[in-house]
Amino acid sequence: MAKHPFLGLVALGPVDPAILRKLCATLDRLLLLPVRVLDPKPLPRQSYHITRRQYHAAQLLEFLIDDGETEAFRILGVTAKDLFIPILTFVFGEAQLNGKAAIISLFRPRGDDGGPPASKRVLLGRLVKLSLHELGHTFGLGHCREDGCLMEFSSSLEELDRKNPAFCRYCRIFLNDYFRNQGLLPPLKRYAEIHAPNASTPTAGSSHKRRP
Amino acid sequence: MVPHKKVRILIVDDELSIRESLRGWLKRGGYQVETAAGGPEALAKNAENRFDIIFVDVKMPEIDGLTLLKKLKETDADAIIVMMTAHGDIRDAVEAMKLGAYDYLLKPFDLEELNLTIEKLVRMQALTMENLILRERVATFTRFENLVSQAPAMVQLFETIVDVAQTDATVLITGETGTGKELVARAIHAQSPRCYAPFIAINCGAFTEQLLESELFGHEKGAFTDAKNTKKGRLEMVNAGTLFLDEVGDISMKMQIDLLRVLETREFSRVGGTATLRSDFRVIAATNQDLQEAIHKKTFRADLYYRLNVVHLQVPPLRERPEDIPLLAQHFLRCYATETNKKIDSIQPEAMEALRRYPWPGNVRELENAIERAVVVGKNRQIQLNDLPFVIPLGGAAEMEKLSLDEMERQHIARVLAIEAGNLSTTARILRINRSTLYAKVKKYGLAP
Repeated sequence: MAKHPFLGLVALGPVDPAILRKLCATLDRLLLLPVRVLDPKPLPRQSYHITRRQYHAAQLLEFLIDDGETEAFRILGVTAKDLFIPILTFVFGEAQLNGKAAIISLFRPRGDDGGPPASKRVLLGRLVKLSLHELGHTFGLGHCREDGCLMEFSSSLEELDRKNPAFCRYCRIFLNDYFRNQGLLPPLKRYAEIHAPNASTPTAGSSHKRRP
Repeated sequence: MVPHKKVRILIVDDELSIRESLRGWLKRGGYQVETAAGGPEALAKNAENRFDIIFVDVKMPEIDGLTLLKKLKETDADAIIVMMTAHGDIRDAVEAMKLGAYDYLLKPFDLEELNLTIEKLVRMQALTMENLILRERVATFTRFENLVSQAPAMVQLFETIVDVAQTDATVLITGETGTGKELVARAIHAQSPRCYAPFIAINCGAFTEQLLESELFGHEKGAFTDAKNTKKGRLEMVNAGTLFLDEVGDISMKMQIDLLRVLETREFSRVGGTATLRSDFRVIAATNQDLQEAIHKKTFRADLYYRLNVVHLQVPPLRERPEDIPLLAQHFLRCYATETNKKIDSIQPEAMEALRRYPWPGNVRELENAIERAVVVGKNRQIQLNDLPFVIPLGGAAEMEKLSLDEMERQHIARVLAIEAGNLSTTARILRINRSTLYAKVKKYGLAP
């Protein structure tokens, strides 16, 4: 892992730079990782499905890793094109579970599929939720059943809008554990290592009570 | 991420991209997913470790989806299978549903549709599992519950129970009191096709004629003075199940006629009612009386006896199978030690020998009570001889012959008191003396209740 791990945002194909900058700033504020906008990449032609008129999300993830920034701790691709995986008609985003890359699409959140056009504020809110959701997968989180959690699965924009822009208690615990294991958060102190304010030696649960 | 039990899903599709994309999506949902490129691989994987939900593509080389569905259902009728196809052929869909597929999805799936389907499947899988577990639990709990034996006569009885359970034949169980006649009846019910319907037992000897009539047939409101509401009888409640008539030899002659009619027609009316009711039930009767002698004395109807005695099971008394005493004692010890949360795990050899020598006139029930008492009063890891006071003096018939009448009375009272855990009222009831007489005798013999 790099000395100063960061999340790299990569525009795949033409993406409004203002949106990218705002997304970068918001994620930087919300995540435990610094976020940088990396050089944009053109969309690979071979990932385009002519009949479906969509890009193959899983192939774009592989492209991001093969051709992307190797220094980044995580890479988040952002594209304005519609995405699919073979078994589903479309996806809002895709990620490698416990992997390095994730991707989100502006296509449906912006209303490009014929839905009502979203304001910039609404669009940014949706993109932040999608980004955190997909990045959550790269940190090992699965879909969550806790109502309103960011990791809850959403099959429509209405469901996405209803979600809170926050992880539930359980997901936060898993995330913190993940970051601790990666050395991105200080390890939790063991109970025995906690000193009582007015005690000269470790107290409650101290070593003499523990098994040798 | 709220934790939940991992549901195992198998995806069978010859297209790698489909397998992998569905696998990835499901894995993110927290499911344990495996894939198979075709029918033979799927069958092998499912045979090795059963999957909860299986997605099967309809069009595949080697074995097509519908054939695979049939094969999977042959080996596992409870398998939840969802067919997938890229071609919307309604005939395939209908055929798949006829063959037992749970659902039929068109590829590519709509996100919302897939999510709803998965949620439904997981709920269904949980219910299927719960059902299986409950069935298994019911079966193991009641199959031969407390019927513990290695005696050849009992082993033969178990075999007969298994055979007779599959039929609807009426069974008459005879045996001394406490030999476990009701347990035999429960075992027959538990292994019969009626096991999911009620098992209703009625002790015919415990009711007066009028009460037994009302209990069995039910009554209409106002049928007699105390009939404030309409009440369903046990014959109505037992529908599809098993009716156990305990102490059938104690039924009055009038009730015997009524019972005979019900057994012949399975039709009856509530007391005070006119409507004819029907019920489908199996009858198992039990008695510790000699019914043939009762027929001879004209206290039991011969036609009812023949109606009940289609299959006759005789439960041998405990003294005729002494090899079962250690086995049963250990079994009850385990049960009561767990129930009372006591760390008693064995029986001292001398105590076991005393148990073995004791004649057990009250049979298995008496042994069970003795062990229960010993567990309750026991203070050591082993049951000691003095935890079983009442088995010591009655060592054998020869020793009993030398006892005085007073000593016999003292020992008998002490024994019943011990069995009844010192309860004077129940002890007096068993000894058929009044409480004050018992109290006087307890005082006279210096017995501490």
